[in-house]
Amino acid sequence: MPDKLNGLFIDDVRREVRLYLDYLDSIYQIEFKSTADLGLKHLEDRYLEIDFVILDIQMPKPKDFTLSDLDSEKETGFWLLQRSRELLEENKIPVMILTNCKSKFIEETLAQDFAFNPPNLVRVREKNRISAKDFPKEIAAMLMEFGK
Amino acid sequence: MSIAPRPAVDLLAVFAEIGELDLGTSSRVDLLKAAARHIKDGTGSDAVEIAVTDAPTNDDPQLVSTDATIVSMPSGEVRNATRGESWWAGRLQAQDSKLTYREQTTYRDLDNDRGELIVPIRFTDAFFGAVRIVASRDRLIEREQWARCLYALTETLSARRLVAKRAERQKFYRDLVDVTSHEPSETSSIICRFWHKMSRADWTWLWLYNDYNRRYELAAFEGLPPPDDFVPRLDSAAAYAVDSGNVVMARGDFTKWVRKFKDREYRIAYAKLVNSVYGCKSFVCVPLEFPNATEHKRASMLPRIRGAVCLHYRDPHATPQQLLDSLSLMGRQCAQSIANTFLEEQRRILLRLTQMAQQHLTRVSRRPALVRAQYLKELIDLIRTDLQFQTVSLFYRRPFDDIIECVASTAISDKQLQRVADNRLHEITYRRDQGSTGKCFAEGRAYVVNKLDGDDQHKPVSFDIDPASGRPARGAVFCPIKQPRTTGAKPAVIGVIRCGGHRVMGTNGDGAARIGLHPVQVQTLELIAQQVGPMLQIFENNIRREQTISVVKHDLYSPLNMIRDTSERIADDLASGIVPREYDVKNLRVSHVIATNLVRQLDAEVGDQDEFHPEPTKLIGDILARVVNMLQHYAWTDKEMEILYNADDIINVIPILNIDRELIERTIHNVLINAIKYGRSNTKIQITARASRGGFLLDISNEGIGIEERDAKNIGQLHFRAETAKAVAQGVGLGMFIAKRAMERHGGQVFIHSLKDPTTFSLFFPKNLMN
Repeated sequence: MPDKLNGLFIDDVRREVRLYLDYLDSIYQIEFKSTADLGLKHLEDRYLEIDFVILDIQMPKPKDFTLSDLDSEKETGFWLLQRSRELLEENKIPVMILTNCKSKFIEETLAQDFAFNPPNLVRVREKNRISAKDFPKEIAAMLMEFGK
Repeated sequence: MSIAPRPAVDLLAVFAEIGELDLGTSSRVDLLKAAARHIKDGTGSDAVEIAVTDAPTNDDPQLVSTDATIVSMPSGEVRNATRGESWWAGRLQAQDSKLTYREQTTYRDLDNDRGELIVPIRFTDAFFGAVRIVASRDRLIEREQWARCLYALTETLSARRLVAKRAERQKFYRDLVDVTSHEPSETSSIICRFWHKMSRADWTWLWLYNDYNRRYELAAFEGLPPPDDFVPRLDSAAAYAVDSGNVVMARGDFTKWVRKFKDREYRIAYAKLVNSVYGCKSFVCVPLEFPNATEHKRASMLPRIRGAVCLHYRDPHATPQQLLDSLSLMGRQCAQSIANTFLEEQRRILLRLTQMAQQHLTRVSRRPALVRAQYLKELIDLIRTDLQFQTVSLFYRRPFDDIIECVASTAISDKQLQRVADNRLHEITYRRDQGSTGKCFAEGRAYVVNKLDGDDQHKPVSFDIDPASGRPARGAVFCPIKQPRTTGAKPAVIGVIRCGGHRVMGTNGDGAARIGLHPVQVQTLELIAQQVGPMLQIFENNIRREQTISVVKHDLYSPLNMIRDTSERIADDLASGIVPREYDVKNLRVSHVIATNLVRQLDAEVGDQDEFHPEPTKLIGDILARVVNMLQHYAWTDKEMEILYNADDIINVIPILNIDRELIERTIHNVLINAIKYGRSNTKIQITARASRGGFLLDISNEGIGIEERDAKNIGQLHFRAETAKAVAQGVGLGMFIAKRAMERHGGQVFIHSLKDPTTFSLFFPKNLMN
């Protein structure tokens, strides 16, 4: 049996994603990180082993946060994407943004400020639209697009 | 046979010719020359000289002088007659500040043919002197007739001159009315030009006193500009005019000029320079003041003009022909005209600010921070263009911290002169008293630092950069933004507007003038700050409300999703014939509790009269056991934490209390949620009770990030969140605020018993709750 694919799950509220993790764990090897900077560090250290990333957008600000949106804490996920952009693109590591925010707002920001290459490298799913049970299917579909 | 002398007839012809002279606009010397020439030619004399000196208007020893200006015809020479002058000598004598004037006609033979007749004259009320006529002796026989005719001639000239002056004054006032149609920045120059023209001064300087840096600023000049480093000192003649409200006239030896007003002694500064280098032999300072002290008291926000017009002459006797009272009144009118143009501008700015407020406050936006940024950008543009500054930076307080941070700027650099990007403006901060910006923040008053001062010894935190040149703007104006005034309390400073690189106030054609900042500009800036203060506070509230809604919404999805996923799994389990897990059932219950509490958080006002229902309550049985039971599962699933308490111990210490169950439940819930949120994984939360002299304490302790000493005083304040907390979890800073208010509603309180490991919050219930 081939090794499980490795996923990095970055979300600040573990309890909230526990059920997602329950469903994912049976298929993938998931590493969970509860802050953006821990997640980024893990990604930078282990990017060769990581097959995909699941990322929350609205998380507490890391210390050297410099994204512009004034007082909003919404965009910590973008901060991580900005920092890891090259690494993600070069290694073709797909990212699934799993969030409580409106996906439209996130997609707009992604298109305007990031324009990832390939364009399907980062996609967005709203937690209230996709249940924990169905989530692994979304991941599988994404990985298939990247031949994983 | 000799020709009959006919001076009267000849002088009549002179009258007629003099009637052609433009008495209104000719300078005094030109007029005297013309008169001398007409007398000489009209009477066929060999030479005519007219000596004129100004009459002392009071017994001021500084104005007592026995010398005179003499014009000679036919040579056309103009000279200053001093004591040694042959024919003028002795006609005017000074003794103990009193002048005596010889009012007799004198005659002597010069040689066989010619004689010299000296006739005293008056030339307007402000001058007097004498006419010396050299003519053939037979023409000067009828001396009395000569004297009468010349006297009549000068009287006529005086009268006509007065009429011309009146017309000139009327024109001055008429022109003044039009000043208000000009830009405020041009008014000083225009008014300076009026004075220059009217007074026929050789050069005219208009100084305005700047309250904010306590110095005089050059507002405009005509003729020669002042020397580079020259500004009137606070004990100068100009300052005397301003302080005392009196017109100053000075001439001759300026070093002797001294005045006293309210215990201060005033002298003419730079006397040597103006005298020797500039060749100034007399000058006049006319005070400009509006509103006066009484009017100022009545309407303190009227644009305030204080200054002086200084008229300088090479001619030592060229004191202006207008009466002192007229000059004084003209000064006041000028000040009022300048003030009016500023008033007009201030009205325009206020109107624009109101429009901006309406436009931005009524915008429905999910991103109020962005709306604020747009408002601030417009505000900066308004200040920059209307008040003519090159740079504008706005600083606003950082909540719960005694510093102000930059929130908007035309362009700003750090101390290494590296331009700071817009998204990093907040990194430029000032503590109280840190540099001039910090000083303004601490003292709450506006002031000006001029580039000429060179007194800015501190190492600047930042520089405002002129976008055009890319260089730091020199000179700056600091204006505090204050909280709207509440009765009794001194309004707190909540921000600072810093403007730099102010442009010249007026232009004098060649543009070479070193012209300073108009003090009213600073006053207008204060007016703007007054309007901006409440706006910034409203924006702050909007941003916070939006943040609260956003966080609560985000947090609400969490229990809702949990309910969805858990119920789905329970359904799957039931379909497969499996008994639903206890874990999932608890999940559902906790989700309900969490969601309810989140919704309640939106209403931070707790314990209003109609919502406060105390009833006898057992802390353990009625509240604590249930809350802990719910959150136990939450703590475990989130961080594998445990919540521990000994029910018996608590029951033994805390009796039945008359409390509002819902409020106390919210309090305990909020404190416990925080203990979980900011606690370390795999640790325990302890709940214990103890009695004190005044009541009972419930202590809730955890091990986790702890509380920094500097943050302790702010915990429980509306929306306060410590930096350490922000780094760990999201929040809105309401939980502890609600807990504090709820306890206070019961006459108790929440306080921090221990900062770190354990971090302990104590809920204090006073003894009287037992009743």
